[in-house]
Amino acid sequence: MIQIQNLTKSYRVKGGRHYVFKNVNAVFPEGANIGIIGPNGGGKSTFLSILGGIDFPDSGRIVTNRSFSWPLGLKGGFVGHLSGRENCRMVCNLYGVSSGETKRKLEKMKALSGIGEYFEEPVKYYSSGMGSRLGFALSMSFDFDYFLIDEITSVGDAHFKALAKQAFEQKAKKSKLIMVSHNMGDIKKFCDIAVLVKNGRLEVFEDMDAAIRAYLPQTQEHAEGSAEVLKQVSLEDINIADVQLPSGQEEMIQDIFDRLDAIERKLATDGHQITSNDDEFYAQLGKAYQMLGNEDKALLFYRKAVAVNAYHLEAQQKLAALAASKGLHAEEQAALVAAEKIDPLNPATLDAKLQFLTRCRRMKEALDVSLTAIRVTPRNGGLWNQRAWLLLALGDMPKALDAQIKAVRYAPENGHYYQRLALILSSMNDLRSSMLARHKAQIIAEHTHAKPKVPPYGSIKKSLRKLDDAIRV
Amino acid sequence: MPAISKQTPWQIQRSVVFAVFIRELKARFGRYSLGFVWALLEPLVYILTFSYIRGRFTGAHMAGISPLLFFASGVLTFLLFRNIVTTSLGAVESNQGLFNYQRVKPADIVVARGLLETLVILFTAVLLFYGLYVVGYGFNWNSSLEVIGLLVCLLMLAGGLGLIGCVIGPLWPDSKVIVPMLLRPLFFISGIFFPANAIPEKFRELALWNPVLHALELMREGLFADYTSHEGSWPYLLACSALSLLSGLAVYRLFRVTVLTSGYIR
Repeated sequence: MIQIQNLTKSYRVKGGRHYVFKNVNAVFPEGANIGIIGPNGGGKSTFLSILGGIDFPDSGRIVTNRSFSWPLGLKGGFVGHLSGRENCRMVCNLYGVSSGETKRKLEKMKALSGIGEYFEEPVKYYSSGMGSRLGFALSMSFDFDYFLIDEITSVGDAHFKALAKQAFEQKAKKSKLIMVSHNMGDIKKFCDIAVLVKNGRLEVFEDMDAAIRAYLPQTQEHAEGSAEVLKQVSLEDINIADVQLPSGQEEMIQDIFDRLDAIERKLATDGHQITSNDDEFYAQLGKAYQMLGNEDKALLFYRKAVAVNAYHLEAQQKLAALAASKGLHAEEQAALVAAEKIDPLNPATLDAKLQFLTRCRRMKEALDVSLTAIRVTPRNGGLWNQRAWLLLALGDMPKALDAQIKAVRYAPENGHYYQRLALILSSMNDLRSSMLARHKAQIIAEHTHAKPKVPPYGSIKKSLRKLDDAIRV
Repeated sequence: MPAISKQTPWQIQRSVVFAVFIRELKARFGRYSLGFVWALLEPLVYILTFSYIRGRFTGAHMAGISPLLFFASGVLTFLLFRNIVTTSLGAVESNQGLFNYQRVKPADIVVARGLLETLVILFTAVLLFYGLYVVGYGFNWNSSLEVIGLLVCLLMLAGGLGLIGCVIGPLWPDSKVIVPMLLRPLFFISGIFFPANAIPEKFRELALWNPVLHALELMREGLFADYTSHEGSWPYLLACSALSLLSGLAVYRLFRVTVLTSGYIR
């Protein structure tokens, strides 16, 4: 059992103290995997550090007779100039492992981390993904009662995630997890109970969904569909017959579509089996179609991906975007709500929500969302531009001007932003500045050569080969 | 290995100091580091410089022993003291990554560094005195017990200051400049190149407040049968060492959590 008694923790800030926890009491039940959720800066990681004994509260204590791993996070506790092996050996020494046992453990770590010969290289040459994978493999080779994990599942590819899950399951009899994550999908996958860290309080939820509901803001109302008139044009309107394709590209595209056909035929076969994660598989396939521009097929596979795993963030986001471009407002909204549930502060999710609200002309709400999005990524010119547009539509000129100036500042290469700046300035009767801005927009337009975007055929082909291999018939 | 929750404090302490010791050893004498050369070269340079200056002016024995032996014993004893104190200042910062493991505390690093420093100095001393013996500067060994007792006192004296240093270093960054600056004059007044009774009468009483001077005097007495210390005082050295260790432990206990807590501004 883990009992938290009168925990108070504060930081010194300019002009006073910021309390992360104030007289917090809580009891975590025995034998449960615990997911810690809450908004950014709410004290999740601090709480994990206190549990792990590497940070200390101002007062209060944590009563338990269980052993905790060190908090396993993105920044591993490695010494940069020592190799992975030397670092791991040092930690074995720290925990009093005998030298024979250490040798055995080191080989296991090397295998589980999957970093191969990098194991013998200094840690400072590792990518952040490799570092956290080694950190994970290292801690998994010890028998702690609780493993403390900080956002680590967000790194690593599908293969590593599968390995990680397997490693946890092997440990599950003896050890439990306490993990911090933004990703509700991971929390649901790995944890039995949830602890909400919010506004200086800890709240224990036995019911995951109740926790997620408490964490997230109220669900969206239904959208009023906005009718959009699409202009119909035919191929004859534009003359493309005399366009020359670069050599080899035609074969490449043909090859890719052949592969896609093969994969779909295999999928249609009774008794086919996908060896990697189904949701990831379908999402990849959807992505390939989307890159090739076939939105119907892309939509189909993203739907399949979220049907398998409703917590696949990227698939939900893409689904929302595609549904939007197809005018399927109900589906778009459902996907947006789902994506928001997974990670409410994800920039892509916020952006999609913003577009949606804007399209529905729900300006006030859109303005709120834009503020949230700007808080997450304050130097995004596009977001400021959008905000300026919303403010303009609501008739708040001075604020719109301020937002537009920021948009131009953070994205000085975009001519359109200057154009809108000019517009705002002229409607505020500052004609000289308006003229300057318009001139600047023109200069940018002349200097940018519109580059045609070609889908990355090579990488599509490569990922298709992998997907094809993943199906067993 | 016993289950992690069943390990006794002693077992934990031992494993941690051992692990940190190995890590420090690698940092200093790693594959591409000149640590070994420097460990030998630093005392050697001091000894040869002093001997050269001394030899040109007098050439005579100092308080009954050769100037080379006199300087060697003085320099090595002083370096042991000085290195333990100065390296403790950066103990926390240069091992930030290690505090990710809850069982590592700043004192472990001071202990491991002190242990390493002691072994390096002992190793250098053996090499140096053997070298001097080969070229004809042998000496009659006096008392092992006194030498061991002196090492213990010196480790208490330096270790206590080291414990203070390991919490002062991160809490007050300027100390990394100021403490070595304060220790520099100590190099000249601790009797490395003169015996205590060579200090003019009127300054001697003042100079004898310095416990390191006593340590050097007594060390020479313990090492060399032909050397007699007129000024070195065991009771004074013991008292200073005990005081240093106790105040070190007290200061460490007061600030150890603060150093590791993320709530203060560096």
